[in-house]
Amino acid sequence: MTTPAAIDDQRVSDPVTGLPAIEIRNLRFRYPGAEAESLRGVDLTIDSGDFVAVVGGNGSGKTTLCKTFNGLIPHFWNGDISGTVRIQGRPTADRTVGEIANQVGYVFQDFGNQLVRPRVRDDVAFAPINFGHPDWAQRADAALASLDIPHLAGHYTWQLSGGQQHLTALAGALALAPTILVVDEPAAEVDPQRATAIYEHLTRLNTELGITVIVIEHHAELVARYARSVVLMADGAVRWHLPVADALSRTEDLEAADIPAPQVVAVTRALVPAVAAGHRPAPLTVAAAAELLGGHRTDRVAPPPIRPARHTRDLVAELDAVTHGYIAVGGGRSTVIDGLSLRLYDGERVALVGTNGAGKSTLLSVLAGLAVPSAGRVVVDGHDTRSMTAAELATSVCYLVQRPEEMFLQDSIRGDVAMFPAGRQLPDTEDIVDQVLARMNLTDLQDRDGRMLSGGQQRRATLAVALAMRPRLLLLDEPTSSLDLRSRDDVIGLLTALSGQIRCTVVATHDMHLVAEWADRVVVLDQGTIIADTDPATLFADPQTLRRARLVPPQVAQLGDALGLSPVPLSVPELVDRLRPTSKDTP
Amino acid sequence: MSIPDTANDFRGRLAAGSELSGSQKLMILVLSMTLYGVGDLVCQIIPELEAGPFQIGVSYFAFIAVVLAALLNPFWVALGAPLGELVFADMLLGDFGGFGELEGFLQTALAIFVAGTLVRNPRSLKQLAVAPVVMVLIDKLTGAAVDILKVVVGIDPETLEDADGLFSALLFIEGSDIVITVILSGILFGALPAMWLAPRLYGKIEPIMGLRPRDPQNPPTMRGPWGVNIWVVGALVFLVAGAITMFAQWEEFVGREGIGTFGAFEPDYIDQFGDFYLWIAILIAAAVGFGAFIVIKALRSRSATTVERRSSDRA
Amino acid sequence: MTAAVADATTERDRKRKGRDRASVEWVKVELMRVAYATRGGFLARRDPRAVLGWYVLLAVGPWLTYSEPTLVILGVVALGSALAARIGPLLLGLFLFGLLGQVAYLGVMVFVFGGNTSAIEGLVEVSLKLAIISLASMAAFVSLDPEKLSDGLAALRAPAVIGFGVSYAYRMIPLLIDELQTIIDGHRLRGAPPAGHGLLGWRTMRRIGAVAVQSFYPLFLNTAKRTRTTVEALETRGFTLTGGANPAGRRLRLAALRFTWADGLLLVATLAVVVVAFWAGAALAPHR
Repeated sequence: MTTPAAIDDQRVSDPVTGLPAIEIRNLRFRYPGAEAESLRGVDLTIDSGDFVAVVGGNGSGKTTLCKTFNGLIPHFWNGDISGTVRIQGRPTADRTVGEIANQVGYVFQDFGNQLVRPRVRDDVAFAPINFGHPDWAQRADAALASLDIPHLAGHYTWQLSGGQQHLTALAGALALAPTILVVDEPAAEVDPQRATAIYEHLTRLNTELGITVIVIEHHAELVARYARSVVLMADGAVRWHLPVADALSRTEDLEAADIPAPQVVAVTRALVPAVAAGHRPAPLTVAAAAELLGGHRTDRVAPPPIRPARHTRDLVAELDAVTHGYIAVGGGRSTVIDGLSLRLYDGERVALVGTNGAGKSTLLSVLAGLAVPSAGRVVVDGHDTRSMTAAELATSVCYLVQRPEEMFLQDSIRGDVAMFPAGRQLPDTEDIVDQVLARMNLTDLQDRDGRMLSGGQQRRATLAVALAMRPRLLLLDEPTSSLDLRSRDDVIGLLTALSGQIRCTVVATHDMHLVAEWADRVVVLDQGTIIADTDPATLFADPQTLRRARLVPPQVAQLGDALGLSPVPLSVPELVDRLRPTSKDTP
Repeated sequence: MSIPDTANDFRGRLAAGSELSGSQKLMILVLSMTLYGVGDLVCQIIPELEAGPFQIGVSYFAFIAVVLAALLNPFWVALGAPLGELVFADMLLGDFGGFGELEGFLQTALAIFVAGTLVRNPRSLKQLAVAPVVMVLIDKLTGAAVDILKVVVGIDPETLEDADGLFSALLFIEGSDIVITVILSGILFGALPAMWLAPRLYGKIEPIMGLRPRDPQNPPTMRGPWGVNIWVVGALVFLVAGAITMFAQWEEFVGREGIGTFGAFEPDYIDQFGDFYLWIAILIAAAVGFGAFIVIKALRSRSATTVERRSSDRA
Repeated sequence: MTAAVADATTERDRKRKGRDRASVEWVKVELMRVAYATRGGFLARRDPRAVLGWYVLLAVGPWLTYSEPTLVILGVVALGSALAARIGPLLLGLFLFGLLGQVAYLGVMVFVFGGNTSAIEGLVEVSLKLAIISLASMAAFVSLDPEKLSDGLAALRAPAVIGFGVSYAYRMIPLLIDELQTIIDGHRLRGAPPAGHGLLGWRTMRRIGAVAVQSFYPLFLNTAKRTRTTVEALETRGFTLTGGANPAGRRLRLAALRFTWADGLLLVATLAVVVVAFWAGAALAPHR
């Protein structure tokens, strides 16, 4: 273990109390019944006013650590605990969670379940009222105003988008005017632009109100852009706590914790020896990287992308002037998809992108035959969805919903995979299931309940369910959401490997890395219509469409664009390859 | 460094005991409220079959309450599940019955609590099969008693004296309703699903909530945080069982005599009647007693926590 | 409500008419509408405590008399109030249908068991009492949205957990119905396809029942996970089982309630009506 806190030397104390925000000494914790300790001697000091990112692999203890900050551990989760946790000098040991909540605000990873009242303003005012603060109304309004969401005050919480729910949860925590704010994975389930927006808010709270912000995060790009210091957790202890630039140059440590370096760092390390050797700091933004790489414009012309010759391929599915919507609570029908026509061909890997509410999920459920459009025609694998039930269509189409736990209907992975073949009484059910499980590397896990697995394993299990259905058309809703980056890369790899078995795959996603690395066709939806139908490289070089659909291309594409490459590169190796100087002009 | 490395603020903490913490109780309550409430909504979506005057429908999903009470602490499930029915289905749908809800709450709570304590081992299919039937019987018998009491109180005594056949009719209706409910809600949507579901969830749902699975050797009813004595439960069950026996005899009597002697008024009818009153009174007393019991325990646990908190503040 | 839901389900079974998933959607929206809609009406603007008091007057009144004229007057008042509270034709229709059906059925049974006019008279009497109470409770509780009702109950010192339960149910129902819908869809798509309806549709019934039960396995575990976060969050937001909100918090929550002169007037007027009804009962039927 290296020095516990390298930035202890330049510690900033709270101007009023003269104490650090959080001070932890030799903290050990074990959940009841658990064999191993989840925290093994944590030493950590977080200064007042810092913006800290806590990073670490699955099971490194980051969430457990953060739950000691506000006393949920040990007051809510009992267990064997020893050591010290002090918040602005006051121990958490002899106070209730409620008391500490006035110092430490907490936003959970599944923030949706944190909201308990029907309307936004009621929810935000919930805590101040419970604690009997007479100025609860001002507090609630101030919290809403500080996040620019006063216009949501009267909305029902169940009608909010993910990003809005997150802001509401944040406002609920802020209404107690805490000096410390802990946010568990703010970017996990929202589109990139909204993730950026949440981070902008956190930054403002940090700089303008002086709130100490602590986030758990595994997107190195966001850490690089917003955090001031980084805590790396490994095996239940703090490996190091460093200023952000130093932290991000320790790429091996980060890789080991399943935090791949930001793409700009990876590219510059591959191309600039001084950065790779650690003599120069790695650039943290696209602009900085573009400046650094300005001299590398060797730019061999990339081969033009092979556009699939669609007319020669078989048609898998067709939507013809489809309109669909839902009944609104206020009466009338909302239109989610509006006169949309689309043809899907054999061998295509289609990414469906667009903002929340653009109609992606609705389009998928129409394609799966779960909903029959209110106007227009949907033909899948030669069958009009109006003429067949969704159950009959299931032999041709498979739809994997966003939350894997809703796909696990049985008490074992094997049961879930076998459900379809067994239900249809296929003669070789056992063989099919064995094969699929082996292929997806799930044989060892087959008797476990899907919910008990890690996020990455859950996605693998749902893909196994799909594979056993042998569909011609596979539809996936957000297959990479709330995954750490390593698991996300696994899922992308599996999807690529599946293309031999499934004729056409459609993925609705916010994840532009998935789009860049996997898709060969992108359909951009906005307000129920298609505003672009193209390939990823063309999309990432089209600022107008990107802005309209609120898309943020991967850094590598942005960097390529800034360097004037056309078509823009889609992966780090591609960019490196295109920029790598030929041997004679080595600097 | 301002804090010595050897400091241990948590030294005075007791090791995690087997008693439920307040938040765990709340978790059980919220979970059973939610699930039973949703189950109640689903019940209303399943179409009802109407065969002549009989409405054959699932009145509730007994298995949800029984499975929860079998796996988790039955007391808090018994409070949470009827609360779910109350707020999810009744209040939200504008179908709130005022005072009627209170009696329904007590009946269901008593039924779930007794059913939950009957399951000592959530893997035992026999116990899982018996519990939902007992739950439905307790709920329906107390409900029938209250219904009949309403008629007795609601009709002018003079009219009541002359009202031949009314009670037979009432008993026949309540009786047939109980039989249908026992079959549909107690067995089809009670015992069978509970036998399927409880063993599957046993050992899975408890760790999610930070609880220990029920130990068959040491079921929680023997010694609970609110001092529930198994004898108290036993006495309640005995009372109810007595009522069941009595009621069964009564029904048999009416079934034979009532139909066999159309229009004829038997003098000993009145005698039986007196006994029946007694049993109704006992049932009501049992329900009220149970309610009072719950309230007292809740109050006591509240004051206990306050004391705890005060002492920890002092420390 | 129930009948409409049943309608939607049978329609789904019959043929694929584009309502398939929309029918579930429709059920959800309908539930939300019933739960969230504020229809207005004369009780809607009253303080919840006044509404509860009004209800108590009308719910207790009928039990204190055996006079038919009194009951008829109270019945008319209750029916009028229910209409003035805009309880909606569906709810009223279902209520009347249910009441009449029950009375008719009971009446037939009374004759089967050899009843006489006295029995019928008693039957009418008790049915009328129950009807008055039902109408009053419908009028009262349709006018109170759940939030207001829980505030009213809290003001009368009901346990804080009831108020929380209402809010929470209010918020969770759409999510849970969505989740249940997804799970049931999963069963429809991945499970064994229906093998015909069978005699009297028993296969279909069995299938619906089996899917409904099996769907609760994932729902139990997923809800347990949700509940864990919710209760953790409640702890950080000052809500605990034993304390509920603290006393100051309770005062703050209830500070918004205002018992105005109009509320008082409502109670006094209702009491007067009940007294008049009793007096009229005594005057019209002096032999009692």
